[in-house]
Amino acid sequence: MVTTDERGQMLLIGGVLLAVAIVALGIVFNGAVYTSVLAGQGQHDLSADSTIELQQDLRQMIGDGVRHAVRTESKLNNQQDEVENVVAGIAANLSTYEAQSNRLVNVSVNATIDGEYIAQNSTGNFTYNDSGTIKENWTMGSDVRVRDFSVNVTGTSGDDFEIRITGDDGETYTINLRNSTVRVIDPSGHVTSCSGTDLYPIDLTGAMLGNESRCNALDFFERVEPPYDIEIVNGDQVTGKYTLTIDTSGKGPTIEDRLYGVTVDLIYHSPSIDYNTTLRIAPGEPT
Amino acid sequence: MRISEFLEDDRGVSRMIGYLLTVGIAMVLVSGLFLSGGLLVSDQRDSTMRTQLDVIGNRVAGSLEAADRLVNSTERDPRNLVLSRSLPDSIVETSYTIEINSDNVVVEESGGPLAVTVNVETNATLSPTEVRGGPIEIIYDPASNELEVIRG
Repeated sequence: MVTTDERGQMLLIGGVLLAVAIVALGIVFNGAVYTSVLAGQGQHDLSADSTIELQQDLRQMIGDGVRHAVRTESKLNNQQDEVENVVAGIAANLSTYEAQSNRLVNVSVNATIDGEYIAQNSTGNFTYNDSGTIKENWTMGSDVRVRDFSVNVTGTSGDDFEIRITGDDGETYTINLRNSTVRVIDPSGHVTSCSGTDLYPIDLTGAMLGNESRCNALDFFERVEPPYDIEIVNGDQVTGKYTLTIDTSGKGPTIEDRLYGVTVDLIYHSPSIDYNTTLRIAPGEPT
Repeated sequence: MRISEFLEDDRGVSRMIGYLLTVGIAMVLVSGLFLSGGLLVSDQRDSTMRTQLDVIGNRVAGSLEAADRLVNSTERDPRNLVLSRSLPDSIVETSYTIEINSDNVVVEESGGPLAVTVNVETNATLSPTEVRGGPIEIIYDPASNELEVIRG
């Protein structure tokens, strides 16, 4: 026969079952906490993006090295040696710095990109003397890539002067310079333009007017599929100066061999990423 | 009859029946507590499982897109690209699978109904595959411009 004292067993059983339920919930929530930690880790797991940032830094540093080499050395082979020294220095510092973060980074020159500096340093028509024949329509470069293309027009005798850039896909962009307006006609015939009182010199590859204001119409260079052809049309209708550097050989009044850029091999190892690629670095080249 | 006499009066009262009533009511209460507690645990488990599947799905999708950004950051395709991601082998003591399709990632509970789909946008092609949950590696194949996920 059950006594008053023995009825407490049911309460005990209920309490035990409740405890089991609470423990089971605890196990479930513990797993949730781990996933929260995992989610938080994901936000800081930026190994791929930090690699992209490193590439951008390398483009900046080595691009500056190319400009420095071209500025300080007049001969192409000296420019090549100088940029290789620059890359070696960057590689040494980078390797030590990244090693502190448990990353192995190696940068080395794959090859130099040797080109030509074309210039008209004295004011004159934008024509070309082809073995005694003056041509107002001529091709400055075929299948080339260009950087630091600067034009300074000081006089015009017509409105039909054009610089035509034809990409590898056959699409042509036309730059027309008229008075105080830069007009860009795209392959479909659509026209965009920039105007200003202080137009020159125009940096065609950098999309800058007078070295101070930006001309969005000149951003077309980023859409041209390289390599491209650079043509001058009606060059007799303008007078002025121009300079540009191309990655191969071309035509112009003054030509000298010049370092255009460099390709570098990048090796990047970390616990979460293994990456090996080649970067093409040419400062001032539209990308 | 006074109250004290009423309380002490046991005429017409069976101790056995009293006992059975007490036990029966207690059993019903305890069973109800057990059922509701079990349902609560089950609901929380499903909710937690779904959340964890979503986190892992987004982690995998984000990693695929990060690898794709890296591939497109240079003019030339990389010679070698391997991204490693450490993911748990199981979620709430349950294994799971990661299925890569052409434009999404499906993370599914093994032997269960729960599954989460996360969309992915990449320029490179995603190689359709299915791997068991756990550490993974994302590998880029420059020959086919494909990103492939394998068990790490």
